[in-house]
Amino acid sequence: MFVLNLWRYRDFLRGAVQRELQARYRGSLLGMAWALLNPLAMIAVYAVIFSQVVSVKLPRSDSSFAYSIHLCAGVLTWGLFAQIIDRSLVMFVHNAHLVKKINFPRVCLPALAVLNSIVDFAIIFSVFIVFLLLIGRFPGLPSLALAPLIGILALFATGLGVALGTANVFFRDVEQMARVILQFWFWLTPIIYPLSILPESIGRVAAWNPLTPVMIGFQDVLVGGQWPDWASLAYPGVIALACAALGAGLFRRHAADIADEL
Amino acid sequence: MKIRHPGWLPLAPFNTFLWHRPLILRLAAREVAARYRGSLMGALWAVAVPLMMLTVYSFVFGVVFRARWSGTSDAKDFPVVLFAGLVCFWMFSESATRAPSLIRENAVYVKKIVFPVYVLPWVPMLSALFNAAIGLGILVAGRWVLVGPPPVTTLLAPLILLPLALMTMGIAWVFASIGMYVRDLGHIVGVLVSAMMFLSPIFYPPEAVPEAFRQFLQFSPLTVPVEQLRAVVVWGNAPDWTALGLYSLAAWAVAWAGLSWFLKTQKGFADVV
Repeated sequence: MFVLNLWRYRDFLRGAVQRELQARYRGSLLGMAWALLNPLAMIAVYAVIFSQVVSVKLPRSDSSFAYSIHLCAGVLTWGLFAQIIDRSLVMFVHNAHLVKKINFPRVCLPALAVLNSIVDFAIIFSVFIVFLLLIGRFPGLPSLALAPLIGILALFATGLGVALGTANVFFRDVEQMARVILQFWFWLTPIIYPLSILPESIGRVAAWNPLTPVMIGFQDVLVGGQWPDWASLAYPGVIALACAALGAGLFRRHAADIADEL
Repeated sequence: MKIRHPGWLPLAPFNTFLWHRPLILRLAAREVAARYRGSLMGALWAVAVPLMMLTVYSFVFGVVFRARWSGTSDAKDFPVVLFAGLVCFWMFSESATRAPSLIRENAVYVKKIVFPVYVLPWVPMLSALFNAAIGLGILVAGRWVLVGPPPVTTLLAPLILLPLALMTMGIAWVFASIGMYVRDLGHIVGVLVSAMMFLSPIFYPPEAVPEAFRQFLQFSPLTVPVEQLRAVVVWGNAPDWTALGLYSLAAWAVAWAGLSWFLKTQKGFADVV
């Protein structure tokens, strides 16, 4: 229900997102360009190291761009996932002054964490799409599948983020722990490498990772230009819904205690 | 009260620490304590986090990418070899990434009180050294479990980390000063430091890099300490004294130049804070 409530605060939310963008890039020489340079630099480094030094073999290496696109598809979408969780983790702890105000609608904090992350992601992902158009590797019709894929990813991250952010108010260890687990997760998901290079025993474990089918879906669409395997997305979809329910439940039950604890 | 100016003599970088030891130690202790306040496991995280990161990286680079070291026949010591590199990298990255925003975070000291602003970069450095000491402990313990009792040359480890600390301080003074005038520096340093993790021989031996690019590795301030730390702690060899000596001289020069730059520019800080 409080999702509908958010509609009432839409003006406040829009203003807050704009302010955040302005504040971040005000007084900076390159302004918004930083939102792009940061992930692009990392992708360039991964591309050099993993194709030249560690020599990752891709199954679909039909062109020199294939590995770079594989990297972008994974690193950028992972960026959205990680950023939502990262911001949600500290949303209550860092905004204690707002949470303590009686009139402040607390549901706006998770909404802002998600919106700000989506804005950042939209900027960089549209640049990536333009790049695909320019080199003539835009996937065409299957690109419609990006919407449900991003939806699953964002819902999953939001649910987890809200649950962790609420827990972090009561146990500060959660933040430390979550950051380490995110690192684990990044490397245990086929983002940098294709699933096929994993040894068989580990590949079976990796199949349980709900992000694996989502990432493979992104790579199918963006690298292969095919529709994703819809049946494989049922599992991450269900997990995402469960996480969203968990996050909403935790937040609703403990919303009142958050202000006391802070 | 007047702030003592460290001057321009070659010993100035050391004096900034020696003169203000009690102050720096107090600030650093406060920072380390603040990090773990209100958490159940407290300081245990200082041990747990590096161990967990080591597990991830050994899995990814040892199992998934099957990186191999030419110096060793089997992969048993791979985690230790990796960790020696990570200890150096974390020490560098902790102080370097904090530097650009350091003075602004401590704006009170610049504006109001008589305070030797040039000591501020020492605070994250001490906290980084504290973590490096823990890391070194884990490294020696890991070497013992996976390979065998630590060699005598392990005692030389501080001799390798201290020049790196000096080099890092020089860089931190420059970053701290420029960061006051150029806000973008925080972004640039963030990218540079994450890139350096992969562009230094931490996850792979230098021999794995194609010949044409190998010389670029020498530009990383981490390459010499990483390789020498591996030599003394993991392989039980004497360090390459020429490389270490040259590196220490370079570190001293960088520290001196960094501090001089900081002292020259710090007059303008109060205006931009």
